[in-house]
Amino acid sequence: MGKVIEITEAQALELKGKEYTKDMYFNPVQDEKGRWVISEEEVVQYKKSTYSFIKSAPLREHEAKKEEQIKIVKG
Amino acid sequence: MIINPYIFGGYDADAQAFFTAAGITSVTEKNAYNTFILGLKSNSLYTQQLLLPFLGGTASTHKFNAVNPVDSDAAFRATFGGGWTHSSTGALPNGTNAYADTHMVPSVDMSDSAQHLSIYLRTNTAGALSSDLASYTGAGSNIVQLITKFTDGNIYADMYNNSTNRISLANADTRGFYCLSRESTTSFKLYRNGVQIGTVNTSAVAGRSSCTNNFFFSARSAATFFSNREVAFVSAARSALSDSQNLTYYNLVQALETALGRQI
Repeated sequence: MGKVIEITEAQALELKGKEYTKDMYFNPVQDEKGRWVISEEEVVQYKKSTYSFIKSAPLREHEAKKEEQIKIVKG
Repeated sequence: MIINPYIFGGYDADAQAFFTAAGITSVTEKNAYNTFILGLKSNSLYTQQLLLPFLGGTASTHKFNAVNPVDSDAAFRATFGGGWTHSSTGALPNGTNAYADTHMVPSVDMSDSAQHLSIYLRTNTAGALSSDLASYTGAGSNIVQLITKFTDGNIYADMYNNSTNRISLANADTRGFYCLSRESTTSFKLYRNGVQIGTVNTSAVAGRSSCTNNFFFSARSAATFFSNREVAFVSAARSALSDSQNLTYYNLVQALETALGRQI
């Protein structure tokens, strides 16, 4: 699992669907504990200053959601 | 004396339209793709609604649907969300939040009786909660899905109904060319590298009309089942592929990937 930075819900709403580099778009998701995160790839490839707050947040290992998805795949 | 037939701009018109729209400049890539398209046409397999050959090495080139290279959602361009790494070998999702939306909708754009979907994967991964192809509405059993390795080590392939039309079997290696083929309203088959590996023969017609969410690759949606398997080819077509056509299709795709130096 990759690395992520944690952001606030308001920041997630602000970033969602915005272009972080040519033809690629921010996709904030919630982790296992309900925290909003974006990936290291988005942070590294973002070169503009509008969302500079993403550059100051520390990277940590992502904790993906699990249980509800297992029920879904089994139909 | 050997003469390169493409030196004087003699590319297939459909291939050239894609090169122009996507800004493909590599002669190696152009020749490889042109040969591929000519092979599809000579075998009556040029029926795709969606064809993503992943040439050019960037999101801006990978997004183009090569059979309708218009930069719009209506033309089924790919939209890349979350963390991706694009390169000459394809598009690598991060398995954390990356997805690609093709803007196809099964209830509108796919067929009950003649449909195939394909993907070429370059990464062997452990089993995980990750989807390679999907249209998932979030409720019920109506789904289009390919998971090449779930947490239990199995493939799960669904086309319109996962209660009656599921193919599931063990998968040791996620790499390769996968093709989901619906040959009739009651026949659904799964192929890997041109060889049939699973089939079901029950009706799933009622399910497709409920598959109203967009068709994604490398995730189930923008929110779940994120894959970390590199993608080098995706296609969809409203046409059935027989066993022999599946093998021909695989051979053509594999020749393309080999010419690009990224075959599995």
